[in-house]
Amino acid sequence: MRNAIDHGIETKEQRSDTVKPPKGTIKISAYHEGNNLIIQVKDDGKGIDPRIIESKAIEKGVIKSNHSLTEKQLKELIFHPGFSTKEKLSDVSGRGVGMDVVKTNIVSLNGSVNLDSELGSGSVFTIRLPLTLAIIDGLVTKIEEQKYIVPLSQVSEIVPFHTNSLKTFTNGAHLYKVRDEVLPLYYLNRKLGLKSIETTQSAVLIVKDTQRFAVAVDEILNQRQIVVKNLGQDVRNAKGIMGSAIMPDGLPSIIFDLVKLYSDEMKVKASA
Amino acid sequence: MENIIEQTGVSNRYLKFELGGEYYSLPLLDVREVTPPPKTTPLPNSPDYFVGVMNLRGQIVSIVDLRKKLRINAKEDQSQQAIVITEIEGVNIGLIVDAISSVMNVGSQDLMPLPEFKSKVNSKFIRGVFKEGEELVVLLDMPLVLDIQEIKNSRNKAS
Repeated sequence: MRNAIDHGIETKEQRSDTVKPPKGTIKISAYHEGNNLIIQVKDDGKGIDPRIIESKAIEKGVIKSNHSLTEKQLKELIFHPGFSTKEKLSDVSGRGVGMDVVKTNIVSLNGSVNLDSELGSGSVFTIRLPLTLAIIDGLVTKIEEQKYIVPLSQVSEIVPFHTNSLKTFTNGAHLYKVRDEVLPLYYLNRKLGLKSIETTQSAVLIVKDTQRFAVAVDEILNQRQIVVKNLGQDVRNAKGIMGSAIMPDGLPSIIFDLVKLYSDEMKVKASA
Repeated sequence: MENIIEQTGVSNRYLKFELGGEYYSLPLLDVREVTPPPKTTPLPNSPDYFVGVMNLRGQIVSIVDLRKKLRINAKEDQSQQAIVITEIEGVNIGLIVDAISSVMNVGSQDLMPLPEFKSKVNSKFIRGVFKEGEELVVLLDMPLVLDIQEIKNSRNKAS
């Protein structure tokens, strides 16, 4: 981040020579992608010039002058220990111990750093970390003595279950009225293949998605920070299962991705 | 590494265990450890032989009931049940067996092709039979029984 400000963004004078607005932009984004957590830092500065890196590297003896590195390999030299191309050391990005330390740390977490840089239009650093290290806020729910976790980010609210707000159709579909809104309701225990005793349902989660829907569970226990662990490789791709977490009692618990779990149902509804 | 395995003869050792009154075995090199039956968490919509997942010192491991997988009736006495944690081609799976018997030390020349005898198990899962005294010990083809290739394919698809 600091590197982007210091090394990436040009001075006002340099920028006005190009078509760019005088103010530089640095965009930071973070998101899930499969089993990875992606953090992206993108600036619209001057990009990394492989020629400058090349001459610096030769001067510092990192590479030989008759090297045969490609432009991409040259750019990646910024991850080499003790490498800083900025002419002046500044108090913003510090000394040249930056990028190689970043890379070593990320690699030791089984992640990777990727650099995309276009001379003149900026650089993108993409950091990829395995989700095993990701900590999420989870809602612990209980269905028939078994605990299941739902990521809190998918839940927009929790409402108590009242049978008089429920409408059941002959084909087994349910609608649930929350204030003035009517939402499709699904029983999570049906999805689990458990014998459902529908009277035991006591709470409803409202899931936020492009379409909102409600999911009924037996009980909401608490909310806790959860370290997401991957399941064994043989079940990793089970639909709607994000992973598992080890609960304080030592037992693993399943983490559900409710949006994925009910994606088929929601699709049917959308096309109907 | 190969050499060490050769010299110590580990590759000639097999873990012998009991399933429904018959003896079966798998290469000792595929076994990571043996543990008492743990508490497991069931997974929804999984096949009947899939018991659930367990917490093995922080690692989540799937547990498969080998008797159900091979369609063998479990012994009624469950007191000697054990879990064999296998590691085959990088995939960890725990197997429930009726009892652990011993570690056999046999040469590959002792492995006979499947003779004409009725086993409870589908013959495609059997790599051969060891004769140990009067007993016949079936050597299972674990990668085939556990569908290791299928697991690896689906993993490659996902990544």
